[in-house]
Amino acid sequence: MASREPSPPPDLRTIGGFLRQDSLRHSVRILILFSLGINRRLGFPELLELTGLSKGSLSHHLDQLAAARFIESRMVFTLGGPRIRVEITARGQEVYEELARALAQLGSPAGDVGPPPGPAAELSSE
Amino acid sequence: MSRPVNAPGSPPPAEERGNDDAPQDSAVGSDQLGQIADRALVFQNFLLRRAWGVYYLTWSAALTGLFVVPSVLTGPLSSAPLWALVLYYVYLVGVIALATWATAWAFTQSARAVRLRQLREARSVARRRFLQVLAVSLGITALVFAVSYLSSFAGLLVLDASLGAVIVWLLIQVRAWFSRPPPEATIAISTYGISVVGSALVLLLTHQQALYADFWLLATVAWAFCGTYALYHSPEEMTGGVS
Repeated sequence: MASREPSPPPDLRTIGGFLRQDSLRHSVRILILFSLGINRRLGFPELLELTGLSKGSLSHHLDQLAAARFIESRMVFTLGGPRIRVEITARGQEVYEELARALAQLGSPAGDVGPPPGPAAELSSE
Repeated sequence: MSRPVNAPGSPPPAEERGNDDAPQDSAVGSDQLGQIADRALVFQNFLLRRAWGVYYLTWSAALTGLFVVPSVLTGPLSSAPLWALVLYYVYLVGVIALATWATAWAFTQSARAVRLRQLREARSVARRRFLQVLAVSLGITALVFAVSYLSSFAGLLVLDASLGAVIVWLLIQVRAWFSRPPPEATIAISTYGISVVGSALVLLLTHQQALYADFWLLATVAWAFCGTYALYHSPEEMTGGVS
């Protein structure tokens, strides 16, 4: 006899809806959205540091997020020369807020936030 | 088992290499969201420690303008023409404004990051936020009065009190973000406390403004060191360093 699972609370449904979108079907894109949600805008080099990806790969993910109108990229002129600055849009911010709220529903780990185990440690050797 | 979050330094899988024909990921599981948020917060530690570095360096420059420059110019300023005094006050207001702007810039994103961290750790900061607002308000009010009477004994004492209020703000900020304060935060807060207490005591006991400035020289030099140290060591946050 098939067991009937209880329906998830509204926040988890919302999360499920977001995570099924093509633009968010990758952990890297969600990571970028989270970081932009916190910082509002980041430079391309900072996003490279965040993700550890190559420029081409990062551009691909940014294109996906931009296509969904979650982010916008623009060229800005700084003392160090022209730079690409990536900003989160109002729509992207809304999605970030929803995901952050849902995180609270999902429960939280005990203790401090530290770097995840694994390849993060490799950064120091590069 | 859920797929781990991509971490810096790890080779990207095929679908991340910019090829639209590559197979797409399956939807990220809700259990992975926590890992992703943690990863974002680790990166935020790096940004925040770098921001603290800028904060220390900028205020080191501001403290130089507040204490070191006046002590050097005490003689010339006492008989200086009006335009020279105006020039000095313009410089003073400018340097404080610059430091305030740098502070706001440096910590705007940290406030948002702390919010996400609260969601992950279910921590409340309502009381802390009230204390922050109180400390900043008291500090600014006292600073305004102090600048009005900067050359006087009372003005310096009020200035000291306003700068002392900053310690409360610093402690709250450091405790809000760093579970283990990085070494430069400990050094910065300690030397700053010594400067506040020492300069106030010297002023009350001896009424000598030159010694007062000497105590602030300690914080000025220490903060310049702390800023440089924080900027240099901030990448360690990404590889499991301090915090």
